Amino acid sequence: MKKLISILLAVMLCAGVFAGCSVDIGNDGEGTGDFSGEIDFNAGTDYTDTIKVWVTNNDSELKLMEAFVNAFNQVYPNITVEYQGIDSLTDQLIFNSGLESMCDVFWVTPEYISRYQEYGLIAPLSPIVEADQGFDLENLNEDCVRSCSSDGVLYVMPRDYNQVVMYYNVDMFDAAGVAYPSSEEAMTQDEFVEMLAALKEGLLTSDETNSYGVKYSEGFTNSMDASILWDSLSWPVVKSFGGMIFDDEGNYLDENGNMLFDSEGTYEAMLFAHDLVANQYMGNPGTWSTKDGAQFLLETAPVYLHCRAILSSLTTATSAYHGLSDIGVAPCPDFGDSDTYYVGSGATGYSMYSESEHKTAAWLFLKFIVSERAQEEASKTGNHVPVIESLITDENAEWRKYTTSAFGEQYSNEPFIYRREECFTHVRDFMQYIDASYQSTVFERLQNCYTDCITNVKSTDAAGIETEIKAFISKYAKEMKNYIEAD
Amino acid sequence: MLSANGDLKSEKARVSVSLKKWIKKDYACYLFLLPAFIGFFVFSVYPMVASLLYAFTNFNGTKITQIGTMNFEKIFSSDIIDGWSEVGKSFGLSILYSVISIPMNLVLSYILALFLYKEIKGIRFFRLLYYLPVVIPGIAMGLLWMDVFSSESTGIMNQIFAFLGIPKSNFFQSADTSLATYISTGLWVIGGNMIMWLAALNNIPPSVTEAAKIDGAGYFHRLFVIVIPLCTPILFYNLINGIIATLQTFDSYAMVGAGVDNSLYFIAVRIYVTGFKHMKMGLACAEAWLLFLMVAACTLIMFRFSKWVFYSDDEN
Repeated sequence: MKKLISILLAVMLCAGVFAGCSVDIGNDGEGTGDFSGEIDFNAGTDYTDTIKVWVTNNDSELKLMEAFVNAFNQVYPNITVEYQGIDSLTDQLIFNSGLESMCDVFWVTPEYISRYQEYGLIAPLSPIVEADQGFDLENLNEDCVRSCSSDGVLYVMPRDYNQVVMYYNVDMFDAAGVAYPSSEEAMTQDEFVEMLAALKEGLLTSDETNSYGVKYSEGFTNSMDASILWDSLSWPVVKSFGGMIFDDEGNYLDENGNMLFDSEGTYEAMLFAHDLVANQYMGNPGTWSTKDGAQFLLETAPVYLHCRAILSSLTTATSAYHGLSDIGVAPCPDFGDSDTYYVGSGATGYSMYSESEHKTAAWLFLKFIVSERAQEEASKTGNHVPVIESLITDENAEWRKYTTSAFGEQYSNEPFIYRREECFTHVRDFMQYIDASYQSTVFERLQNCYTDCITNVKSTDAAGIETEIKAFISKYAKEMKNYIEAD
Repeated sequence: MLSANGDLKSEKARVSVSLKKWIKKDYACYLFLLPAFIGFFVFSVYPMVASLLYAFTNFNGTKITQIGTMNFEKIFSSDIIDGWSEVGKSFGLSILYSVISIPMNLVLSYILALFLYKEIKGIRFFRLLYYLPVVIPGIAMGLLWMDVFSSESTGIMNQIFAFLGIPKSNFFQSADTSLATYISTGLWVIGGNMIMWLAALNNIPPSVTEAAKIDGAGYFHRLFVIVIPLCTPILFYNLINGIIATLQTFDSYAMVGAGVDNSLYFIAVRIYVTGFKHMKMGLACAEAWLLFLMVAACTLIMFRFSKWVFYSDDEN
């Protein structure tokens, strides 16, 4: 016993000797390097090499990658692209960093840019773009390029353009006797809520059955299937009501030193979400957040808010779902009562591993992703809106030609690009100002605020609800501030 | 000098021959032990040493740019994030959880063991029944508890409450009730301790209790004066295991993360979040070593004050 205590004390004494010492052994190297020198810009179509590409492990991602690789190999037959779907992609990137098993190119959603910068995994692409005389980003959608950049430096080659739309089940609208939403004009908030109310009333009194043989009146869960905790909804809804976490100048405090998040706009957004759930227009996020899309696919909810990337999963029959037989698409409703129109939008894409030993082939592949040929091939999968501006507007582009038997008269491609010049809203709007370590934690505070305002408000009278919601907002604003100001 | 060298050589040769003989004789034994040794060094010793080194760096999972005691300074600083006000709270919460759940589990599992100790028909089935939940993986059980303790009116426990006329509870969805809810989930696995108690009860010579009975000792007198003292080695074992397990409790994270208002932000959860969410592996390692020191200190103190444990002569 004495021996053990002596050893412990000795260890503590040794540690005490070094207390206060710290040595910097290198720069923090947040992906600020210029790797253009490692790339042969004269490489032609006969260039020979092998690269490894990792994407997140789901069917639509793998299908898209297959389309890209097949098209790429028609141009570069001597470059072998070994692509693989990876579970827990971020973890695997970290664990394999520096090892031979590491990939050369990987799939990235822009909210991870700072994190990958911090890990030193991600090669900045801007210096490479500048050095490559035969390539520029001018024909790509500006917002997508901006969201794939950090401090003006491109880190992710944007692959597609996505914005949230309102999918709807035409049969359920018919059963409820509710008029279809317009595909050319976004509904106002009031119109939208009225529609949800009418759908609920109509379906609860309907005698018709869905394709699973269940009466709409018995199977009805909510008027709308949507997870308000999804970043493409949670943040744009707050922004639509005038709420913010950072302003355009990167300030998070108002002139009185209060958090900008703790505002009337945020309150309006939270109240809106609270009322949607309270009226059974939307599912409780605590219950439904992990089952996103299930209500719509099981035909127990007639409306679904999501983006183009999941389109084929709504119309394709699987062992779990029948697939919808008649699907309509309308623009995402215009939440809030301001003149602005903010909709969750963005692009995912691919990045180059900073220590890749195959940078020339990796760059050829990344460049090819944003070529017209690759974009058209990807569009044939159905889940893709091109990132090239000319293709977005081209009436004959492949993404507009995609069709299935589930596309009836109410299906339209226009909602997928509706008012895209003004609606682009992405969580990087505020994340870019926060230390990479705490970005997801701050976003979680926004999600928790929604959850509390929906689930834990006890009052039933308007004044009580207002007081409780405002208290939750203040609480989470304070927590956000702590993380924003942390070292 | 020459003679000394000669002695040294012959000594070395002697050791080498005996070592060879030793290995030759028992090589099969060592061969079978090898996987366990490799596993122990690769999965226990190496991570421990590595984490101690990382605790003095700003390792973020891929690179190190700073070496020093900054992580420990940070933990004991007054910073709001990752400072002692937060880390201390997590330590406090883990201790609170230990202080409540260990005695509760020990007492309840002991009472259960006393009931199941009786040799009546079908008792083995009941013993099996109470032990079964222990073999369910923690993650699977976590998901089950989420359904049982759902804050919705359709949650299983809320339906039982409604049947009994008790008001609906928010369980994990409220900071006021989440710790109590989590502690109650621990009752599900008291079968583990119960098995140990049964073994202890079986080891008590029947002659001792019979003699006491003949001398006129009642049930409770025999229980407190004979049975419980003879069970103290197992009590001590369960106590030590309980302290180690509860201070490292992490199962809650699969269910509700850190809980509403960080009401379940145990120190093990904090270590995970710091390392894998905030990408501060070095800081997480420092926190982990503080936890290790705390667990080691508790265990040492328990051993230091273990005179109350009764070992029979042959066990001494």
